[in-house]
Amino acid sequence: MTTNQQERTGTVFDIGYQSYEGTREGRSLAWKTLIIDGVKNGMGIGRGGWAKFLPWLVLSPTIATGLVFAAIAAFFEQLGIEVDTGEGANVIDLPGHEDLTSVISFMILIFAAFVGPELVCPDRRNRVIHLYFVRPITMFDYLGARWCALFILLLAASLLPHITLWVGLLFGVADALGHIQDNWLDIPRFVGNSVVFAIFTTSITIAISSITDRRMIATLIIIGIIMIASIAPGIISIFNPSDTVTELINLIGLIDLSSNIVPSIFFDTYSENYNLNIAIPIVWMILLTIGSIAATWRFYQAQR
Amino acid sequence: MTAFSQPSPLLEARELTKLYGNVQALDQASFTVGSGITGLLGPNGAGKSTAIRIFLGLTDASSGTALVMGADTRNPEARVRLGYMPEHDCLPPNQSAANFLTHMAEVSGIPPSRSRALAADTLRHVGLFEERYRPIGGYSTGMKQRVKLAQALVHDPILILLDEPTAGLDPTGRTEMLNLIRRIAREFGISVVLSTHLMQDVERTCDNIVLLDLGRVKESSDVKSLTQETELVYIEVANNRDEFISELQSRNLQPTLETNAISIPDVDGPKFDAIRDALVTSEARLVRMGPRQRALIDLFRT
Repeated sequence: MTTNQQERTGTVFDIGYQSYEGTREGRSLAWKTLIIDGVKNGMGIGRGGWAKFLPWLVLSPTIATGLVFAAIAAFFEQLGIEVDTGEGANVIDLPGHEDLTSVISFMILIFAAFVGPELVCPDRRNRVIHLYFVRPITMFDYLGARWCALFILLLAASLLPHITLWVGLLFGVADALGHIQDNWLDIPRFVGNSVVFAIFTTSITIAISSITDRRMIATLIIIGIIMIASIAPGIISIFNPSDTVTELINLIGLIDLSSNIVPSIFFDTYSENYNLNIAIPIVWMILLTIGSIAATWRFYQAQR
Repeated sequence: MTAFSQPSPLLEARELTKLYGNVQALDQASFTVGSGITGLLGPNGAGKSTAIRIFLGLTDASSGTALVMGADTRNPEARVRLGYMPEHDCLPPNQSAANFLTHMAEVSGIPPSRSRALAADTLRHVGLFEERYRPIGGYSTGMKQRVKLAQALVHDPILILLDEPTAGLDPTGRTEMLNLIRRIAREFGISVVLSTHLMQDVERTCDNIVLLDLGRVKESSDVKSLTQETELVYIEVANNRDEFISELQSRNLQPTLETNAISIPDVDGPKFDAIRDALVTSEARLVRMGPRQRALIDLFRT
């Protein structure tokens, strides 16, 4: 028989406060932490069902579009009909990467409208931002890391459908090696287009999200700007302006800019479709991007 | 108490001036903050918050120098071992305290492998260990204040700046918070700057004070010397007060009648005997007699 004394198997000691003697990794870890936190927040990881639902609701059709394009190509290949999505001789000219960009750009802009405000608005609304700025990081570190988080999400959203289509086409054709030789140039084209589109959209989304600390208002403003900027050229075209004027007006439409003009530059079809000097849309996009970044910086400096 | 070398002084203001347009928030304020608990005291508009914002690197001084542990406040490295607890609400309601503190530790440079353990330890020290996985939005005001304090401590700072840490707390919560602040300084070895307009909090907690008024340093000293006992003796009697005063006057003492008591200056040994004799002769019943202690509030009156 055991006594109570004998049944005791351990003792709890309060060792008190222990000073941290380990390494401190500095601002590089802060960047990494803020980027990972931003990506997780954007996709609703570690949060409730509703937070996950909205980004995936928009992202899923984007990826599915790439799958559908690849499935159509595979279907015609199975029928023995020669398919061309690149630069070879056309038998049946199925939609390729440039067309895919045109289709998914709108969806990615809507995705950015939901995800972008999620990354920056709650920090200001809950005033957590004050706690970030008293840590050993700068405002540039915070904004840079949040920008990178959104850029990663938008780049992934833009690239995934292209990768799906490219791989799908590869599996769909009989001569895979020949397909790669004929269409390898598509890879730098859709990667370059996705990078430029992600930089541009990230900068504009973060700038608009800096105006308000309410996520839904920021989302509505972004969607509103996309819509208004897209409708405006259509309204102005009623007055039958010249082609050059129409093209200039089209530059203010974010959807046309990201869906048609930028892809046409990367897929080398700009001169076929537009009369305007190619430097004009490029300079316009650079100005919009730099202007958005500068505006974001000013907003945050004023609120600090 | 954890032993580690603390740079001295921890905070240093050299002729610090801050202008907001035409408003002068700080006017050539010079002071230092060493180890222990220091109260940054002053009425609204005295320049306390401006001084804290400069030390945290949130704003630049118009002129003068502000150093944190010897480093310029504009250098982010100056904030590696600095913690800050703001007065206002600043917590994400949907996150658990454990996740929030882990994230803040990582932003401060603590490796992920250690930050979760540090977050749990810190929450245990502030009395929130059992509640650490609950969303912060469901916490009471007192618990939120503790989370705010915990996030200032999670990266093991040398110095923490607390802005009105007892704001919004009931008397029990206030006492607990002040006890916790004392424990942080005495047991954890972390120095504290307590910015407040509540003088009782400073008297109960602080070792040193820096008193600001209209942007200038009015007093910078240790609390004990400022609240030391004076040679003024206060006497409160239940009856025969006039007779007692007459007896004191007849013994060459200079009593002054105050609201509820009689004060006598420069009291030494023989004068105490004279007071005793005056009490006996006048048959006044003694309620209370003792040396008067200066209160910090007197500093505002001078």
